[in-house]
Amino acid sequence: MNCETTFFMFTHSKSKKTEVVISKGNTPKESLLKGIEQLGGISKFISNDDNVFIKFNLNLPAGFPTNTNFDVLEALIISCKEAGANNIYLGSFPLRGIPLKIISDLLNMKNYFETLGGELIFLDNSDTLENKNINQDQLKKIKSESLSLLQINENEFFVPTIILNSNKFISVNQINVNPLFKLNLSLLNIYSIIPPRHQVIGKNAKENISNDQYKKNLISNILDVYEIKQPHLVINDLFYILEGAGPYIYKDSKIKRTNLMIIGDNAIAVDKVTLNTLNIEIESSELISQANNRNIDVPKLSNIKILGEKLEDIKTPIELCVSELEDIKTRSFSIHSGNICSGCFKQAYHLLNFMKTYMEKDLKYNIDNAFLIGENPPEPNKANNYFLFGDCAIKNTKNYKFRKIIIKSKKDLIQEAKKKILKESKSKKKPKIKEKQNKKILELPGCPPNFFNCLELIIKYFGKKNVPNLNLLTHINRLWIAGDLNNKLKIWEEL
Amino acid sequence: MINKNFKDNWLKILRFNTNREILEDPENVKEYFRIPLTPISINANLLYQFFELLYPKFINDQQHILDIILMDDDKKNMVQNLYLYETRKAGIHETVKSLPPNIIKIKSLEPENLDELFDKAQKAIIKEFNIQISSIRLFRKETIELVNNYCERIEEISVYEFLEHFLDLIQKLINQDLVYIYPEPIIIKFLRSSLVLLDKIQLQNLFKIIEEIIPEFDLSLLINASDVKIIIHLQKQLSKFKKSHLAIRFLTPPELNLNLNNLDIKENLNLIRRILKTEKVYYVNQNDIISFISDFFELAVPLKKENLLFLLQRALFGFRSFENHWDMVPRPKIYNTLIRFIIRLFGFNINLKKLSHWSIPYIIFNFIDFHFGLNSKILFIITDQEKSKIGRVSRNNIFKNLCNHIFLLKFEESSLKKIYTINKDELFSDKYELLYSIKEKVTKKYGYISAVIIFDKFLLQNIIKYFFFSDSKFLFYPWFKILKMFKNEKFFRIYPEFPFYKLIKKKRTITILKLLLPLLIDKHEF
Repeated sequence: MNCETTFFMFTHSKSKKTEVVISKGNTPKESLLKGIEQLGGISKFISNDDNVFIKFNLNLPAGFPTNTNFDVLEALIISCKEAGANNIYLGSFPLRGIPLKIISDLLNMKNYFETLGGELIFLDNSDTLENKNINQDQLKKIKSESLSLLQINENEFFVPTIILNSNKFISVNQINVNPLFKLNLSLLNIYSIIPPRHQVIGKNAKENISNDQYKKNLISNILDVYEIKQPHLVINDLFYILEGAGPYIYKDSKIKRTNLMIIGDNAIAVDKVTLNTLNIEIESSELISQANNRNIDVPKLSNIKILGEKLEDIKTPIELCVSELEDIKTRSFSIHSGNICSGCFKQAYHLLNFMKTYMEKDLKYNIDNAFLIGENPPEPNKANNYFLFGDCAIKNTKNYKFRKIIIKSKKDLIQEAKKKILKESKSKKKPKIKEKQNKKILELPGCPPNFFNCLELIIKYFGKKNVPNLNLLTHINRLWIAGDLNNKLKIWEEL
Repeated sequence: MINKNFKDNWLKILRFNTNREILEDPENVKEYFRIPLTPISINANLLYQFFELLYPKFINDQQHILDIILMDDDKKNMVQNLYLYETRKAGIHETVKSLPPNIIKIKSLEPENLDELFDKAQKAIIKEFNIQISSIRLFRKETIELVNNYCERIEEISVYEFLEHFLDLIQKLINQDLVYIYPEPIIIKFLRSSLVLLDKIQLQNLFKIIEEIIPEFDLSLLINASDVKIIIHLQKQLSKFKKSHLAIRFLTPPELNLNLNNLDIKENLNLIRRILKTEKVYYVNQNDIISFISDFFELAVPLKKENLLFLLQRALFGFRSFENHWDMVPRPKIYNTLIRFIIRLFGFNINLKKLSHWSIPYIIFNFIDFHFGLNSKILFIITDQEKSKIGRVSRNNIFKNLCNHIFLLKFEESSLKKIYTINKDELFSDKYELLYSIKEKVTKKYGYISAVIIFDKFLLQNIIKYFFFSDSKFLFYPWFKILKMFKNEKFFRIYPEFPFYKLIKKKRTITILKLLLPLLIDKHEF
């Protein structure tokens, strides 16, 4: 970069404020199109013959708002086409262990996008994994062709080549509450352009729980990925927000309508305005504060030119996720948390919410459970079952009282009666006390434990008859997360 | 001028209501009137009891009502006629006084300011007659014309025709703002919001669809309360040409020479069954029915998930309270303890008295929320495979020809917001239509469709037949038959197929039953 360019960029960034639009409409589509128009129209972002990649939220084969609103995607694809885009690709990596092909089939996404003029990209190559004749070498070749290895800040990331090669990169992000970051910000949406296996934080990071190294490393990775390819257009869709419990649909989830969409060309600026709109202090967002410490363009709120609605007029407070697991209030469960890393907190949050939502009857049948999590959790009172969640809880509770049960030998009632009749003196023998290993303990290992493994272990522990809800759910889950395609995906991930 | 038949019948009712108190034995009265606006004849005393019971519950529970008949808007005073009903008991219309119209002046009718109009009317009536009215009913000139037309052949028409015409009348009256009642009863509020939900769907068409799905039946219903017992005889028969014939009779025990003072409900029901020669006789408590209907009308439309969940829990609780809150003869086999015991030995626990009324609605709604989301659009198609059996369908465009009704349900924020009806021709243009292309066409017009669900009429009929009318001699047969029908693409299809349906299709019926029964029936037999 020469001095002239640097000087130009400096003066340019100083003179021109980052623009973010807050648009309000009667439908999501109207809000989106109005917002883009206020920013100068779609042709400001998309040129003739551009190859556009749209990154949207795609977590589970579930309905809105677990994934992005398809009506918003439809409006965006049509706009890009009108602006002359050559190819419009859409894609995302779903949650770990779920092939994109399965979600696409269940939601009929591939055909839907095709009819609109877009193309769903199977970033995990799950469309080719269906081919039974494919061998490991071919799989390796496919993977190496579709992913590129990049190094950022001494970390290596596999990023889909199609995203790197696209001329324009758009992030369409559904705003829902998030247990770790308060909101699903666009930075988190962009993070899932790397395969789920590489989103996992290394074990050594989790050992330092006291300063939550897990979260620090996760944030660092999120910002690294953001630096790889920054989007040209960022859409935070908060027309409907999932509040209370999220980002997936749980019993405590509520949907709130704001009619708003926040759009701009700088993801951090858009996220800052989103936080502000929802009455969340920007400083409380660790993602944003960490971004400040980096060499990333982080505009101050005062330097963001807000178009459309006035920020003061549209502030909408929302109900965030609980910050303590104890507040989830799962029936028949008492929660005992020690020092928890963010990884375990997140998994336990989802497990407890899942049980609360989908295992109503199971929890009624199996009462009085103690759920221990983290380093040095408090000793629970006597319970019927003890759930030890994560390696920390298993390791740290080895000497806890509940691990052993004390059995007093029963009195010999006949002998006692005989002695009473014969008026013999009472025996001074004390009842025998035996210590036995408590078998009512369910260990859910992992750091953090795998969600689906936990479900399998729970059903094994209680038995099918005692958990009818979970029994049905595991049968259903096995249909889409434990087939041949999933096994091949595991191999693909390991290559 | 109101229709003469209607007026004569109404005046007869008023006369009876006025004199009822001096009658020696009103329960044994042999006088019969038509229920207003219906062709159904009913014992005078029974009609009196209906008014006494239902009017305060659903319309107005206070005394004295003023009817205002209005002319066109451009007159100086819109009031054409005033009729004052002095009611000693709420809902019991006895005397009617025609009042001079000029005592109240209405220049224009503003529905949002009915409270002001009510105050004005109340002041005028207090001033003139020293009577405090509790409700006003406003009828436009067109209302009278519409009611007159409706009443023209009312005595001659069948129950089927009556229901069709009556629903049409209600829809017109509400949609065209031809009737106002102040204070607005919950039933009118419910109807008004339901019609918004139904968009352009005609109530009479909806009735036809529901009527088509309900199989033939012949049953009687004993509705019991502390002071009154009502027997309702309901019939649906199909003619050779599949034309429906509905019949309804309201009876009192003395009319059938029945003495139902026996405490044994089953014996009473058997007695009714013998006399009326019906297949089944049900017993229900009047208070339970009234409370359920009242809760139903109190449902806020658009229908919220929480409200539907609560109502479904109540309905299931009612269903499981067999021999407690309701009863029937002949006793369904499914409640036979010995048979249940034998079947339990094979690992199936079917005890409908232990139906999980508290958990089933959660399971259903959680599945819907997860798969379809909190905002979704679902396309429902009802087909009729029977058409192909009797050769009424050409092989070309077979799907189109089998298709009877198409609805699009729009859910927003976990509430059912709108139901659209879709014309067949909009969906089927090609000879061989695939579900995918149907979904695509609807998507283009209405936005992303979460699922297309196709039910055949035969499947729906069987569900009602076996589970609502308990119409089976064998305990297991209905469960197997229904599950098998769900597996058969002729009767049920869903696109895209979500995992739960895939599981039903993939596993054997017995396995599915073993998976589902523990969810539907509670484990503990306490």
